[in-house]
Amino acid sequence: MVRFLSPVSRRTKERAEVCPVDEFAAGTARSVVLGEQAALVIRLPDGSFRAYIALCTHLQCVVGYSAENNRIECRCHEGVYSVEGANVSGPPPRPLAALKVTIESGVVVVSEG
Amino acid sequence: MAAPVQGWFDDRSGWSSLRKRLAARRVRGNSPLLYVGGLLAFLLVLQVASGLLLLLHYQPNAAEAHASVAFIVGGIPYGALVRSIHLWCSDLLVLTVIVQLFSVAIRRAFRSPRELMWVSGLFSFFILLAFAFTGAVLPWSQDAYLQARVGSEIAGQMPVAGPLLRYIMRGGDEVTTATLRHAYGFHVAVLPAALTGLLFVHAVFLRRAMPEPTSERTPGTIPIYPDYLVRLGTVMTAALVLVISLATFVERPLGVAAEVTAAAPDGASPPWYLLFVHDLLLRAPPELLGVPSAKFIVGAGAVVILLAFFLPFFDRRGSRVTAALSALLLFAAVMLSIHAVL
Ligand code: HEM
Ligand code: FES
Repeated sequence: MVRFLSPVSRRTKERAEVCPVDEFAAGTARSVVLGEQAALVIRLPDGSFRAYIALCTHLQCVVGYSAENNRIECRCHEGVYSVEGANVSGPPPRPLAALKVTIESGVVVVSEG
Repeated sequence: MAAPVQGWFDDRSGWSSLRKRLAARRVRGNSPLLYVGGLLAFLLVLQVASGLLLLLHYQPNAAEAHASVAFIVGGIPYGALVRSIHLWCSDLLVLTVIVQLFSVAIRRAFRSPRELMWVSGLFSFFILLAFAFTGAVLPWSQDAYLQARVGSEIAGQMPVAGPLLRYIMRGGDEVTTATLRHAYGFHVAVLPAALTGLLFVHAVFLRRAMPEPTSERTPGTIPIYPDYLVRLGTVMTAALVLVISLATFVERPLGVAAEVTAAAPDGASPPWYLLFVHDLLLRAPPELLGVPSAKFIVGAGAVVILLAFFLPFFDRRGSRVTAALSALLLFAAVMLSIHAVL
C-alpha cells in the first residue's frame, strides 16, 4: 500500500543550464530547477561561481542570496549560510549541499557533483 | 388547513410524539459540553458545505490550481465569500476543538467511563489538523508550497514513522505536483471518510458515557425540547453570524502562485495554532544533545502527543497531576505563541 501511495522515484545525475556567462553579473544570483529541486547559483564579486541545492538543511525552506550581506539566507527561521555554503547562524545544523558549476561553450551549467 | 397537513405529516414522521418525549426529558442546562458538541457539528456542516461549493470550481493540478482559486475569488459571484467562510470556519473549528480538548483535560472529564471518548476525540483533532494542512496546500500559492515543504519535513523528523509519513505526504521524495494531488485526494476523500468514521465512534462512546437524561425536575435541569434546543440554536446562530462577519470583513489573501525556485518571503510563518512550534524551531540552536534541534523538538512533541492519548489511563483518582500538566502545557504554548508574534 505504501508503494502504491508513492510513485516511482528515479534518481539520475541532474544537470541544468543557467544562462550565458556574460549575462551573469558578478554579485548576483540565479535560481534554476535541477531535477525536482531548486538550485541557487551565485556569481561572487570576484567573478567565481558557487552553486547549492537551495534547500535549507533545517526544514527545507527555499534559501536565497542576499547581495547586501553577501550571504545566503533562509527566512523561514532566520538561518544564515556563508557564500561557501557553511551554516553560520540560526538553526540549520549542516552546510548546504554543493553543486558543480561548469562553463560549457559560454553557458553556465550546474550539475550534481 | 394546517391541522390536517400536520396530522398527515405526523403519521409519517412521528414528529409530535418525538417532541413530547423530548419535552419530558431534561438535561443539565449549564453544562458547556452539551453546547460545544452541537457547535462543532454545526461548524463542520458549514465547513463541508463551503468545501463542496469550492470543489465545483477548484482544479487539482499544479498548473491550474492557483488560477482556479484566483478565479473563485475574483470571477465567481460570492466565490470570495465562500472561500473566506471555508477558511474562517476552519480556524474556528480548530480553535473550538483546542479549547474543548484543554477544558476536558484540565477538568479531567476524560475519567472513567469516558476514556475512549478522549482517545477518539484526540484522533479527530489530528484528522482536523490534517484537513487544515492539506487544505492549505491546495491553492498552490508560494505560501502553500512552503507549508507543504516545511510541514512534510517536520513530519519527516518524527522518530520511527517520520520518513514514511513524509514520503506519503509528498507523494515521493520531493515536494512536486504529486504532493498537490495527494493533498487533494486526502482533503476531499480520505480525510472526510476517516473523520466520519471517527465521529461515529465518538458518538457511540458518548451515548454510553452521558448521564441519562432524567425526567425529574431537579434544579438546574431544563427540558430538551424546547429549552435546550432553543439555546443550542442560539449558539449556532451566533456562530453563523461570527463566521459570516469575519468572512465578509476580514480578507484572507491568496498570495502569488508557487514557484519552485523562489526563496521564502520575509515573515513566512505557519497558521496561528502552530506559532509556538515555529518559535521553538526558530530560537533553538542547531543541535540539542547532539541531535539536530528540529529532530529533537519534533521528537519531544511526538512523545507528548503519544502520552496525551494515554492521559486517562495515567490519571489517578484524587490526583491533580494530569490537570496541572495540561494547564502548564497550554500556558507554555500560549506564551510561546505570543512571543512568536512580538
Ligand atoms: C468534505 C469536506 C471538505 C471539502 C469538500 C473541502 C474542499 C476544499 C477545496 C476544494 C479547497 C480548495 C479551494 C481553495 O483553496 O480555496 C479547500 C481548501 C481548504 N480547506 Fe477544505 N474542504 C473540506 C473540509 C475541510 C475541513 C474540515 C477543513 C478544516 C480544518 C478544511 C480546511 C481547508 C483550508 C484551510 C483550505 C485552504 C483554503 C485556501 O487557502 O484557499 N477543509 N477545501
Ligand atoms: S528552514 Fe531554513 S532556517 Fe528553518
